[in-house]
Amino acid sequence: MTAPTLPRIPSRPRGRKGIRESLAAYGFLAPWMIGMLAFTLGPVVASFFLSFTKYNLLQPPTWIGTQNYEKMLTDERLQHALGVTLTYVVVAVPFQLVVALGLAMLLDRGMRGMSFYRSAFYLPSMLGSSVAIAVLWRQMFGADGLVNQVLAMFGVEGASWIADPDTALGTLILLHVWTFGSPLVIFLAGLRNIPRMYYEAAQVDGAGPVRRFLSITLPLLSPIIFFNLVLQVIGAFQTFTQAFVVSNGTGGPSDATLFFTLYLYQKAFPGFQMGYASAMAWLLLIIIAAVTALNFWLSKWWVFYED
Amino acid sequence: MNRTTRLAAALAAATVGAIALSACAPAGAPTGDGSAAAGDVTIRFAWWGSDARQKNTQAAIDAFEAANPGITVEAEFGDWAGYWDRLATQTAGGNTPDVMQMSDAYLAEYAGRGVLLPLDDQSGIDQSHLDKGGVAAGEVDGTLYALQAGANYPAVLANPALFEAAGVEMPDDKTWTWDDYLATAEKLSKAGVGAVGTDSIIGDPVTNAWLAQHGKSLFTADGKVGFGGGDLTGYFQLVSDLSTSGAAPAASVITEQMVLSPDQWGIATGKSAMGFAWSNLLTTIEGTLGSPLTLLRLPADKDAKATGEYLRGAMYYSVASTSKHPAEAAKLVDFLLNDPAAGDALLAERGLPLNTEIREGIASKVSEPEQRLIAFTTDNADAFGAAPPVPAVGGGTYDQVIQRGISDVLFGKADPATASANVHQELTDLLAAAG
Repeated sequence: MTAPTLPRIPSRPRGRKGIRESLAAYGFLAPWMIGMLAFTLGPVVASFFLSFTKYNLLQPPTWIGTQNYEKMLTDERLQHALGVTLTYVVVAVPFQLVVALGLAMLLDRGMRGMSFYRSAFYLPSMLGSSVAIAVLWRQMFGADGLVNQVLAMFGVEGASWIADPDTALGTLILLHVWTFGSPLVIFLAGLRNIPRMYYEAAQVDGAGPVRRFLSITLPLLSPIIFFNLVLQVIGAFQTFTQAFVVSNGTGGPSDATLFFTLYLYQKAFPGFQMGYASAMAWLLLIIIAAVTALNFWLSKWWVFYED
Repeated sequence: MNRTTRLAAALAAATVGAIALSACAPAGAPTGDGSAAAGDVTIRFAWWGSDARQKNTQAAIDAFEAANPGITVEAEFGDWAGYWDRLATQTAGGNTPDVMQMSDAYLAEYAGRGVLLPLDDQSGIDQSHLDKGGVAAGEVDGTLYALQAGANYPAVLANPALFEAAGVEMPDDKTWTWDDYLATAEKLSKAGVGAVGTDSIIGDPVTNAWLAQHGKSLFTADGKVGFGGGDLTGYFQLVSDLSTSGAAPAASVITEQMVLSPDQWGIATGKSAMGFAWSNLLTTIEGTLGSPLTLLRLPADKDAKATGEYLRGAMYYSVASTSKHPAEAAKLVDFLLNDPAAGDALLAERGLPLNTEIREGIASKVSEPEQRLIAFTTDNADAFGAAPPVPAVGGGTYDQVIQRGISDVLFGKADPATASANVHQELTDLLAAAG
C-alpha cells in the first residue's frame, strides 16, 4: 500500500485576522485547558511533591525525603496488593479480549438486527465501572444471590462468592470480562477493514475456517488487538470502583480483593497517610509505564503492519 | 491515575462547595426581614446519616434559627464514607465546617491534629445536665473535644419466636457465659427450624467488650495499643468455635456480613436466632424482621473483670478550631444537646441523648423499640461500666484489621494465636506510622 498523499494545509492567515482566530481557538480550548491544568496536571505535580513528605491532611506536610519509597520495599500488604492487581491484569484482560474478538467475529457475519446487538453488547462497557453495577454484582454473587439460586436448581449449594477469599477476585474478573463492549466495537471496525478478497482467495485455495482465522484475520487484526491490549492493561491496573463497592472499601475477605488502588485509597483517606499514598501513586505510574513500554517492545514480534 | 482523579474530584467538590458558600453568604445576609442585625453570622454544620436523620436534624436547625435570629446554619450531609473523605479534604483546604458530627473512630485523629476546639472552656455549652461518664468519653488526653450526640451499647439480639420454635429456653443474660452462649447457639442450630443459632462475631461491637471482660482494651487513653500480642487468642478461638460447631453460618456468610448493611444480617432476615449489634440498630433490624427481638447482655465468663456493657458515643458533636464564630458554633451544640425543642426533633435517632433530662423527657415520645432500648439501660444500670478509650491517632480503621483477622481464622489462613499476633502487630504499626 502506498502512503496516502496528505491534503495541503492552507498557510495560516497573518495579521489581525490571524490573531483573532488563534484567540478564538484558545478561547474554545480554555475550559478543557483550565480543567486539565487545575484538576489533572496540578494534582499530579502536587502528588510528586507530597510523595516526599509525611502528610496527614489535617496538618501541613513535612519533608521526609525518600522515606515513603523506602517503606514501600518492606510493606507486605503493598506487595500483596501488587500481586492481586497483577493477577487481575494477567487473567482478566486476555480473557476479555478473547470474548470480545469472538463476539465481534460473530457480529461481523452481518446478521439481522445487528445494530441492536451492537448496542446491547456495548451497554455493559458504559455501566461496568459504575457503582450501580458493582452493587448488582455484590447481590448476584452473594450467599442468597441469583447465581446461587440458579445453582440450587441443579442441586448445587453455593456459598457467598464475593466473601470467599478463593472466589472473590474471580467475580471481579468476570465483571471485567463482561464489559467487553468497547474492545468489541473496535474489533468490529477492524474486521470490517480486512478486504473480503483475501478470504475468497484463501477459500478457493481450500483453506478451512481455522486456517483463514490464523493466517488472515489474526495477522491483519494484530494492530487492533495490540491497541486494545495496551488500553485494557492500563485500565485494568487502575481498577478501583468495583473492588471498593464489592468489599465495602476493605479489600476483603482476607485482602483477596485488595487492589493496588484500593490500598492506596485506604492509606490516603481512612489512614491519613497522604504522603505515602502519593508515593504509591507514583509507583503505580512507573509500573504502568514500564508494562506499556514492554508491550510496545514485544509488539515487534507479533504485530503485523500492512505497509 | 486513580488516586489523582479522586483527589482532583475531592478538590473539585471542595472548590464548588467553597464557591457555593461564598455565593450564599452575601445572599443570606440581607434577608431576615430587613433587620440585618449586627450579629448576623452563618455557620456550617456537617453530619453523616440517613434521610431520616437529615429530616430530624433540619427540624432541630430550624428551631435553633427561630430561637437565635441572626444565626444562619448551613447544613452539609452525606453518607458515612463520603463524609470522611470530604471532611479530610475540607480540613486540608482550611475549610472545616464550624460544627461537625464526629465519630469515636476518628475523634483522636482530629483532636490530636489540632482540628477541634477544646470544649471545656466553652461557657456557651451548659454541661450541668449532661451524663458525667458520657461527657468523659469525649475526652482525648484529658481535654474535652466532643460531646455525645447519642450513645449506644453492645447487646445480643435474640429472636424469641425462633427460640420457641426450637424449644430452647431464653437464657438468663445476667449469668450466662460464653460457653452457655455457644451451647445455646448449637442447640438452636440443631433444632432444624430453618435458622442457625447465631450470627458470628464480625468485630464491633464485641471486640472492645470482650477485651474489657479480660481487663484490656483496644487502645489506651494515652494513645497506645491496649493489649498484648496473645490477648486476642481467646477471642479468635471463640470465632473459630462458633464456626466449627455449626452454631454460626458458613464462613463466607460471616465474611459477607462484614460488607452488608444491618438490615441484611441473619438476625434481621430470620436466618439466625441471635446476633450481636450496637443497640441503636435494633429499630432497623426489627423493622426488617417484622417481629420484636429480645435485648440481652453480652455473655461474660465467671472471672470476667467487667460485664462488657458500656455506653459508647455512637456519634459526637465537635467544633472546628478554625471556626470564625466559635461562640455561635458552641451555641448550636448547646442547643442540640440541651434544648427540649431539639430533643423533641432529634429524639433517640442518634442514640440515647447525653442530657439526662432530655433522655427522660423523650422516653414517652420515642418509638416502642427505642423505649425498650432506654429501659434496658435502667434495668441493667449496675452492669454498665466505663467506656474504653477512643481509638488512638492512626487507629481509626481498627475494625478492618480485626475483620481481616476473623476471615483469616475462618478460612484457615491463620490459627487464633497467629491472628491475635498479626492484629496486634498491625495496629502497632498503624499507630507508629501516624505518630
